[in-house]
Amino acid sequence: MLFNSVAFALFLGTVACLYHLCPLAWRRWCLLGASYAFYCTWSAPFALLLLAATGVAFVAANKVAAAQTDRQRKRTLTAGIVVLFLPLLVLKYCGALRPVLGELVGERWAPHLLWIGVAAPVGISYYTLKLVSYVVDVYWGRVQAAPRWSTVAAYGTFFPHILSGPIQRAGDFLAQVQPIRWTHPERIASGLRLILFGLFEKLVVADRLGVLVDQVYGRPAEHTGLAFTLAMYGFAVQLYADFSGLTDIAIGVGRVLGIMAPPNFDAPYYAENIQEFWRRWHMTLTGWLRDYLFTPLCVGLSDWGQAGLAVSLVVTMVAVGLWHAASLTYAVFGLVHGICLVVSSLTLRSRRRLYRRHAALHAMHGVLGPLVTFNMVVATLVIFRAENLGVAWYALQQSCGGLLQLVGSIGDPERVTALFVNLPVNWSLRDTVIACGAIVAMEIVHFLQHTRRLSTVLAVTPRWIQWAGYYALALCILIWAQTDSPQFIYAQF
Amino acid sequence: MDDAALRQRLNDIFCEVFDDDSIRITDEMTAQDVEEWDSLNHINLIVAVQRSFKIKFTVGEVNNLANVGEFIDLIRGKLP
Repeated sequence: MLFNSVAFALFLGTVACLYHLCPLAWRRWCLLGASYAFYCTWSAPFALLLLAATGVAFVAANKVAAAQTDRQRKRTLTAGIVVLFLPLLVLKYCGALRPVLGELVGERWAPHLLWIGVAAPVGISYYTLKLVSYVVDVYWGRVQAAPRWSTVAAYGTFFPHILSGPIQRAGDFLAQVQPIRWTHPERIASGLRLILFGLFEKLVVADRLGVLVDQVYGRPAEHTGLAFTLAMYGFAVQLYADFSGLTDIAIGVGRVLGIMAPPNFDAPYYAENIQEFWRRWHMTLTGWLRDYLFTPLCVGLSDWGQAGLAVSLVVTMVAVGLWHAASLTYAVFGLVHGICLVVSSLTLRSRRRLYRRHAALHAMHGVLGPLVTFNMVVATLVIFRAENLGVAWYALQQSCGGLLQLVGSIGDPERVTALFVNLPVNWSLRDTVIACGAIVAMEIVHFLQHTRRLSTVLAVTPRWIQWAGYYALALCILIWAQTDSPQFIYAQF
Repeated sequence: MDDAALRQRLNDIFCEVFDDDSIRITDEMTAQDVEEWDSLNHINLIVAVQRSFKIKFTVGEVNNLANVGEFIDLIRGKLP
């Protein structure tokens, strides 16, 4: 059941009514029932795995909390982490190793390995990280072990977040369900607003740009130059709108059920440097990796000085890449970002001093920083999108060639027009106008969210103007929604 | 080491790590109060403190710090 389907709207309406009408004491079970029902629409057999994972997390956390010695606590923690990660590693990552494993076990047993890595259970990358963080947080004393399995299960299976996050921390979630409180109508209203805006981001911005991007990347050999340049920038905006839209819907659905969740994006394409970009992009994943991978690595390698920091950064960023899937393109994407982060963090202090010494540079930095960072991210996303590294290299060469061609034609409107008219893609001027208008509207809202002014603006805007805005947004979705690609990009991870 | 000396040495480390001589640490100070205090500089800070005071922190200790006051208590607890 996709978030952007009529079936989900009916499901959410039914669940929300039941949830808010039933007594507070029953709501946790209502939430749990709804989450499992939702998960079963994706995969009933793997719902058992989810059930087992929440059980393992519940038992491991309680055993960690009850352990008498530090050694016992560490052993229980390690066992819990290994058991929780095992299904993720086997079902999602071992597919890449299947041919090797097949050769190792021989012809007779090889067919029995077919189940490995064939299909990763939906949401496994998200709920595994959530449950692992819960057990580790109990070990660190950040949260108390929940006395009831249903509480841990409600956290791990929470259906709005299971497909694509955000990866909410246990402490934040458990504080809202132990006990569950009455939900203020304004929270439900803000959830519905987010859902509407998320649908706009996905259906009007992301899916429209997807039409252009898919044509180019779908048949790369048939395209050259400017087509790749447009697809390169188009994909960067498509991915952002798609994932941000999906997250907004997920957070909005959670709010409809009274659960607040952390944001996943904070206007990342305006970041002044690559470190800042990663603090503002997929924030709940990078926050998870910072706390449970990067910091332990840094502390462990603290005797290595700056080399330890560099190694930790690269390993963390490769993990970010591989978290998406066991593929060379994702690994290289992570590696490139890791190297960029190392270079940027090691030179940050010198750069800052340089800006301080030269007033002109300091003035330009506010514009140049985001411009350079944005273009760097856009270029690396080519590796993320391409089918393999060969296509990525070709796409990057063509994109740069197209950009140079465009820059070289500036000043000659006829040449520029000819460049766009002769593009071998099915993309009209109408598409361009709709996409650009929708991106501007989306970015105005993102800017207001980033500057924390959205609630202020809503508070001072008369009700009738607000409602006119909601109807306009709904109308835009009805008229301009692309319905060819209902799947969200990040739901596959 | 007395409290004043510990705070002074820690303040010097903060100035060095965040490249800002105007920093004056307080018990209530958090990462929100120092512009440059991100996760990378947090690690730089931890490593610098470990070296300067010749102590070691665990991951749980590093991740659980709420403010500078707790950091000072943690350092004090590890000093001989």
